[in-house]
Amino acid sequence: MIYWDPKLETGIAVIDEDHKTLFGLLNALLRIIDDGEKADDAALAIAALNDYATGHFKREEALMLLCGYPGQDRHERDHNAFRQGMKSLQHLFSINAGMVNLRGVSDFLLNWLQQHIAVSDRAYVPKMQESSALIAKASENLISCTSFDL
Amino acid sequence: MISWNETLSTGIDVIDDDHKFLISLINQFAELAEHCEDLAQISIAVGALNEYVLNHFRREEILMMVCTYSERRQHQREHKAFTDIVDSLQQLYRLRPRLVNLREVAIFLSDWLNSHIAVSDQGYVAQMRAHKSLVDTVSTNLRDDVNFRFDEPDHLRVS
Ligand SMILES: [Fe+2]
Ligand SMILES: [Fe+2]
Ligand SMILES: [Fe+2]
Repeated sequence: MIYWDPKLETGIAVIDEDHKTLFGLLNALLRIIDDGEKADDAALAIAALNDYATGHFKREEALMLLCGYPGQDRHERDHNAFRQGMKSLQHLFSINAGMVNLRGVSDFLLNWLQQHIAVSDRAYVPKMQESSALIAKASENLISCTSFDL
Repeated sequence: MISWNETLSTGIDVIDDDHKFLISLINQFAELAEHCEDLAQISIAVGALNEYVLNHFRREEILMMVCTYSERRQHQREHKAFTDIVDSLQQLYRLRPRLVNLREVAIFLSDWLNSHIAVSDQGYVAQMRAHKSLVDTVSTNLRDDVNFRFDEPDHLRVS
């Protein structure tokens, strides 16, 4: 079981909500692994996490673009590397669950999320705060929109 | 470990040579998966396997096409499923090597290759024998050039 750490908060509501949801989905996966890991359930939990992460990345990238954040390219590369790797993991797991080291996956996910939120996400916060009115307006549209397209 | 034996033979030299080489690459990978801690060496082995597999499938698909083998599309789909798996393996290994259970992967890939050669590849043998001289001529070209490119007509492309 992992807990949301308030130190990870960015102060941008739509993003903090997403991050908390990602932690919640990670907890669901951890629970399945601790319960002795039924491959079907684990596959669902991984898929749910991947789908939500994809939606979240899109929302974050849209907000970065709106406020003219200069580190966007680098940040998107981080997102893409994660998404690509997780997509591959999901694929291998569906072919033959034994090919994936699931215990390693939960450590990896927790570390990656914490690290990414604490460092990479933190970096865009000042820029978004400068454009807070714009961000607030755009956030209304982004909430509950998982397939946002620019 | 896969060992070459006559039941795996197709009697088409260019293909048998490919299969023997593929088996040696996959055995090497299985060996590394067992003992090796050197991540770079494992990446190189997977990369080599991936590249050779792609070239081999291409050669096989060209020969299936020239001899108008009827199960060709299904066969290509099997190839695609395999290269997708190797692709995912490489991607995941790149993200974090520890997430890959190499031994299981080696077993899976060996089993797949073994049964593909023993069963699916046997499927085209009769048709290729029936077109032996054409297959021989094309084989010579394929042998000379590992990167032999063949632009397939759109209507025959498998997606
Ligand atoms: Fe991010
Ligand atoms: Fe083959
Ligand atoms: Fe084949």
